[in-house]
Amino acid sequence: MTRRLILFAILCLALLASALYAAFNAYSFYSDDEDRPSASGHVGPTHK
Amino acid sequence: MSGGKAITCPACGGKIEVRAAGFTVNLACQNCGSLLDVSLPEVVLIRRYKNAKDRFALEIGKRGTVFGQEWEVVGALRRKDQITIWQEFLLFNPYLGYRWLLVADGEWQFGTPLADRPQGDRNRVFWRGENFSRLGRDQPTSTTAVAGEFYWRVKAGDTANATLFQSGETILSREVSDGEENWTQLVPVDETEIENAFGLNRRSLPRRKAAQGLMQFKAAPGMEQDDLGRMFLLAMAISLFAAIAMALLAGPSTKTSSMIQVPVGGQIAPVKIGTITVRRPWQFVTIDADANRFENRWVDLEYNLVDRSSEQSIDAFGLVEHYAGTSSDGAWTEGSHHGDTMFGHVPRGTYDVYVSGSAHGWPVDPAVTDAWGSTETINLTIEASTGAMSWGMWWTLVFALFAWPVSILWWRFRDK
Amino acid sequence: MPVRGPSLPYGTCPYCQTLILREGLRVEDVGKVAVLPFDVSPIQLGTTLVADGRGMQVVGRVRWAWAGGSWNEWLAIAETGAQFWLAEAAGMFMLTAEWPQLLEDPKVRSFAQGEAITRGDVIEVEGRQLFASDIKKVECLGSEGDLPISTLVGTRMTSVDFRSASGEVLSLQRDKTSTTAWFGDSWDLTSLKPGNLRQLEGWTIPGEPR
Repeated sequence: MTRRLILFAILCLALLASALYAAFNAYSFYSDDEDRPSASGHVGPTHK
Repeated sequence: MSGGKAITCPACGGKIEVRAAGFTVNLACQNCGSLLDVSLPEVVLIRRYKNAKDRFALEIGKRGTVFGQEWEVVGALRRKDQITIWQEFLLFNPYLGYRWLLVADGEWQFGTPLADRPQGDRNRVFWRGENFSRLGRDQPTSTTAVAGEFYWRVKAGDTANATLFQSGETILSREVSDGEENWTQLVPVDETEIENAFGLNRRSLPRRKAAQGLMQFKAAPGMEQDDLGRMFLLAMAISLFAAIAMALLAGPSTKTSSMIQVPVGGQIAPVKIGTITVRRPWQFVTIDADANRFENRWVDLEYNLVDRSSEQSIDAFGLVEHYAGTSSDGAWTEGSHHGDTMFGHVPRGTYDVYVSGSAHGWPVDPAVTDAWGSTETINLTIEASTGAMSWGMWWTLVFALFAWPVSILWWRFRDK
Repeated sequence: MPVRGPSLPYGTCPYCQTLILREGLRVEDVGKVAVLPFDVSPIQLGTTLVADGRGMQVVGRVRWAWAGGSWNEWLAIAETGAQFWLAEAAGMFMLTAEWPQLLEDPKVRSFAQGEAITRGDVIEVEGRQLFASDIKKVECLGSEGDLPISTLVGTRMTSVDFRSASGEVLSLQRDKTSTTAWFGDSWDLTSLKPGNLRQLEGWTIPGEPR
């Protein structure tokens, strides 16, 4: 086991712990609450 | 001028000094880089090159004293394995034979070829009364550039399998190529001693590889175990485990759905879709809106989750839009007839799901067209459910897990 | 023409590159040998060496070439008249003495009869295992001094080197007429306590052997 592999394992576990904590609390970076897409006036397609 | 001999390069016609005449087999012309065979009285061109473009940290022909003995730099190699790139210099003194200088990541080592082979097995060898234990795994190494002269047939692209054994500061290196086994004893030597002896071309030192942040914990050059495979395995295992754990933490699931009609150019008051129950302390609530086919319309939806016990409402918004048209580039479409909305961090409770919204035409709302004065409507199936997991969060985790091993991989294959 | 090893049949005239065969009082012109290419060997005719307490002097040299390069074999004669070959390779030296009893070894005998030896074959000499490591067809590039063998241009032989883990060497040499076996050890130059080394321009001969 190299030192950086151990460090990587620690990093992985920290990431996993944060992900599970977020999942338990139903937190997501991608939830849509308070995010009103049309709040500022919807204007149709962005196609030019 | 040393006691060498001069030859003429058959490729470029330049004069080349052979420093270890009688020992040197292959020589790369200092002027044009062409590889020559000088083992026989007639110089033979092995491979023609246009210019000697590779620069090394030490200049061929420099003389200096290392560990009390005088040496001349006669050859230089650039080599690499899966982890490191380094330079090797062949030192020559006609009375003492050959030695090596290796440099990688700012560390220098002085190498002495061994006539007496260490004895032992894969993991441990015994040499001159000392035990050496294996350092890392066998590494396939290859030569990427050559300059100067060598006592064997050398060329860029040569490969060897290298294994290192260590005892204290001394390293024994075993290189096997074409069934031939060569052992070299390596001891550390200060860069200042090398600089004083030969002068140093600092700009041509092997690049230090991103020794910043977490990378600075990487082991000394040529001594790492190849841990990359294990990193990928670990990242993969954790990704898989996280997917299962996140799905379990997301459940259980309840669902309700209903169809609504939204008039284009108008709006509807809140309609109750149904009731869902959050059975865990916190859950995600997802609401999917699925519309019939329409073109150049958008539907703004507002969702309210009203807690039956507290009458508190949690709000979120959804959007379904689809456009089509033709421009100078041809036909185009944009948007989707489908819109997902996710509520995060919804506390335990029973919720009535209400939806209200408005629909519009683009670029303008359509006029009422038929004689009956009936209005165009958009039909939407709204389905609310609990118990979904956030795949976005999972992909974020996967990205973070693989970022490190993928950067190492990239960094390894970036050079040549 | 100087004769350093009067017991040796062949001598090379340093002025006309003629190989001379001495038989009793008769001297025969055998042919020409090639001029040796320039090299930076620290050994020269007249260099003295001490190995395992035996003093010897270098009296001749043959330069051999093979597909992978070329090297010097120096002939050294001890005070007793015993012959040694000092092979020079990549700055290391192998000093071997003739080992005729090995010709009785079945493997050596079959080699003498023209059989091949493959890399990794084992021979036991003096209780040590030696492994065939170098098998090459060699051709004479030239010679100087007094020698036991003819070194006319184009002289060819098969040379097989066996090595032990601790550095012992066995060299089998087979030419058209005979096979000889030579056994010895690896040395670096300083441990051979050399005297009268060749002065190479631009280099200082390292001090007294340590």
